[in-house]
Amino acid sequence: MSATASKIRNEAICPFCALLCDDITVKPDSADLSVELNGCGIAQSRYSSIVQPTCNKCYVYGNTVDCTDAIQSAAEMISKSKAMVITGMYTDVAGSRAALKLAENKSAVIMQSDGEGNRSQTLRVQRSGGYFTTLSEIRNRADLIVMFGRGPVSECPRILDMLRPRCPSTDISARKVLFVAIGAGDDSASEGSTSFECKPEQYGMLADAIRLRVQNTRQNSKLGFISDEQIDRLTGMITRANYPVLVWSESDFKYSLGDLAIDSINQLIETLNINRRCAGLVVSGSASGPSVNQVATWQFGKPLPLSFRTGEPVYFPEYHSFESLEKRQDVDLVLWVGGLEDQSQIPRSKADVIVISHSKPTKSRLFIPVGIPGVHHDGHLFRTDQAVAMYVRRIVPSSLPSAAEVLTSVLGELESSRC
Amino acid sequence: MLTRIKGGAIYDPINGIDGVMQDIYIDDNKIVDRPLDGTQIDQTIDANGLFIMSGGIDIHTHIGGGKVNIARMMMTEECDAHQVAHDGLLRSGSGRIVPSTFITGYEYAKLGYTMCFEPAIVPSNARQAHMEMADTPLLDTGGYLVLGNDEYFLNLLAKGAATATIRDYIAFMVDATQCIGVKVVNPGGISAFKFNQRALDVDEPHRHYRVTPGEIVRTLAEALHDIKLQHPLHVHTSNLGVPGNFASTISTVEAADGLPLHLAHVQFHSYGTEGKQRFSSAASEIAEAVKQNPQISVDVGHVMFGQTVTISADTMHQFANRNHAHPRKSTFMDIECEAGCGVVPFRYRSESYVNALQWAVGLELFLAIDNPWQVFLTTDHPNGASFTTYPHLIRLLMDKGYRNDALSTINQSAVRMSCVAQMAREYSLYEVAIITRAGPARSLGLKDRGHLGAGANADMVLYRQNDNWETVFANPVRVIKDGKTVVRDGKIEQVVAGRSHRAHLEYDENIKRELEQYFEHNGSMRLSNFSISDDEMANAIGSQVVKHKWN
Repeated sequence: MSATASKIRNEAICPFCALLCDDITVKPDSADLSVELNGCGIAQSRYSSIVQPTCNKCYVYGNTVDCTDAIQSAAEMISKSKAMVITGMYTDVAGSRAALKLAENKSAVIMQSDGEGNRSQTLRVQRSGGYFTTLSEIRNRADLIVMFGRGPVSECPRILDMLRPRCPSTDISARKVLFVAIGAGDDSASEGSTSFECKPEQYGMLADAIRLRVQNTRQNSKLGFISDEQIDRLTGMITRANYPVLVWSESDFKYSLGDLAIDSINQLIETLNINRRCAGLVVSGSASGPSVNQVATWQFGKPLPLSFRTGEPVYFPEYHSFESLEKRQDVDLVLWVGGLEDQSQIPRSKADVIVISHSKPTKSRLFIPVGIPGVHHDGHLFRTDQAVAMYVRRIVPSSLPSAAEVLTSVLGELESSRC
Repeated sequence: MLTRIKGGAIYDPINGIDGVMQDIYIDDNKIVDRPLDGTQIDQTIDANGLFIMSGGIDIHTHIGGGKVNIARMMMTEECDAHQVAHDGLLRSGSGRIVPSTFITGYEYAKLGYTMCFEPAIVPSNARQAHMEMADTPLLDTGGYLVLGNDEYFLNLLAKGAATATIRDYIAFMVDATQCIGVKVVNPGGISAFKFNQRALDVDEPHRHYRVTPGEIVRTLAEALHDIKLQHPLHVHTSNLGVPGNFASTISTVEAADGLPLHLAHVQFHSYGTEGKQRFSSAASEIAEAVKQNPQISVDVGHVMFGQTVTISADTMHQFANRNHAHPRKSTFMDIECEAGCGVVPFRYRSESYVNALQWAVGLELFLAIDNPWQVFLTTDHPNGASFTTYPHLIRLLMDKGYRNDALSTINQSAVRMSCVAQMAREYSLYEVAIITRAGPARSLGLKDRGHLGAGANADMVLYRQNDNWETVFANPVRVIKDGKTVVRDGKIEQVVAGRSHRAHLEYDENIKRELEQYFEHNGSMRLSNFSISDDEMANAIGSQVVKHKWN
């Protein structure tokens, strides 16, 4: 890769969080990339830490090999495996398609490393459904944004910029937008916003108390952590709004019974929609999460984790978590598929590990470097609202293959050698 | 390679051939004229005792896009109950009602279908819809872009923008999203629901924009006519499922002022308010309107009894129907100031008066619309039923005795309110060929599809005649796609990728300047990142593009 041969790229799409901001300007310096315009903290840090051409080496047992040999070695390891687990899945649509095909062909279990993070919302949709909205709707129509917790802003730092109206003069966006931050602590949503202190474990109770007021079934809650007057005030703000939007991230609900709190927020939205309008937005940190789940769902009818051990796509999240597979000694090879991750958090396992990623981890038996979608190669990623897939284009020339190319080559090797 | 298909009875309505014994010649992937005597034939397929039609074309089936994936995600019990393992040739998957993509392709191919059209592509979701269709093997695909509820269009209309501006905007949007048609869903109603308007009839103004569904339909129909899009405006009319909605359906036709329209899943829009239950069939009124307006076509959207899931961009009416959900769950979405979606599982019950009458209304429409070129066979998959019920539906149309037996098994109050029992018509094979392939091809302007003449793509189906038409259409002897045998005796023999069909339209590039500003200020992505190129389709999404241009 020669970064010096690149030009400044305007209107580039940042692939490093699920907002997929497409208004950033990226400048290739002599050896590094820097964000010149509209970069948030995550973008600044991720672009500047992209390792340049020296990383373009494959390793087998610590020895440098060329890519063809590494792919052949990977195919040999995979062909011998009886219980492969594909994880990480920090990849784009093409990488997801290829990894799912490999999982299917080799009867593997495939999961996201942070799959736990989206499970509550997935379960909610599977069990009851929900009412959701997208970034443009919020920007143009919302007059009240209620944000639960710190997760949305810490995972997608520019989320408030993306949700605010940009052009208040147009008729559909000529309105005052109120922000309410619930439990955001010192990181309150924005200047001038209203904030209510409460812990993540209390979000569900608060949502229930508001819902009961909306239904006129209970006006006295006595929750302890928030006064009835404050709940009344919050309820009044929500019911006076024309299009209130409730925003949350699953990362704030990772506690026992957190899924019930998510249920409560969804129920509040459902209740509000009976006589007025309201919608929810679930924020997820990485764009790879929504991307791989979308592909798995259209190709197999189910999100990750999926087990192909029996040939059929089986969705049984509790049974097919990495921990339970390890406990049952049902893992003899781990294939980590990455590219978009911040750091490779490869799960601890006695099994051999193959890493297909951009940055070399400290421990792996086999490492094949790949490019980052939207930096080194083109690719598709889904945004946090799940309604929009963006075509992220490479911004620097690169000889690094994509994860999809490596996985397809491995599959080709397996098929040609009838492994 | 030159192939001769010898001795089959041909049903090819576009070329006026009604059961004539005739040989067909295929050169690679195209049908060709009979070669000169002495030309070497590389392969002969014996079609003695068989009849042949071109590949089936489903003009309205929900097979790709965000709403379909939400349905798959929600129908988890159904997906778990119908899992399919992979084998050496076929990929795995799950679901019958709303199957995963590989299964969708395989099941359509096994029924002799070679082309399917997704009728509701939301602009910002077009990439996903095309990616899903690219992963649906054995089928050529295409999509209709959902417009008419998008804020940009409604603003143009409300402000009295020049016709040319609206025309350029629509042509650009169809081009940028790789679509072949335009659909309007509950004209203005999806947007109105975002402003908490819970009903909107054809001549009623949108609460915010003050434009009516009638104006929206007329403006869009005129624009499509001007930009020379072959398929007329595909309309999901106002008041989906509401008793008495036949009047809205007829008003929509009138609003178009003589311009062609295609009325989608018209069964759901043909209800009266007669009888004790204030719910009756108005199929005869709709059939009469179709007869009086030869510029109108319809697809039926027939219902079948059993579990399904309803998927629609019509959030207004899907939300209103959420209390009928079975199982009790539903998902809705407001999407990018363009449209919305509502996914509501539903079980049609033969013992229910309303559901039984819906079933009868579909049959009445098929049987009462005289001209088969104006009616196409659909179940609005999966809204009325899965596409896998098509052979059963064809038998109901072709076999009066079977149809009357079926009538005896459903709610008898509904039977008494229907005239199906008195309808003697039985569809012929020639008519079935019209409503399942020739008609859709002609409506979409696909010159090399839907027929078996020289120059046509070599997509065809060989059937063996039998007294049971359901058996016939469920079990083609051979399905040929692009000149290759892909299904033989119910088994998939080889898997080929489909292509994506799109319109090639012209527009004034200046429209992009205004849109750039709109996207920057009101959108959540830049215009430069919105458009899908042919190159992206082929190299990243996974579908080769076939462009169609009409004069």
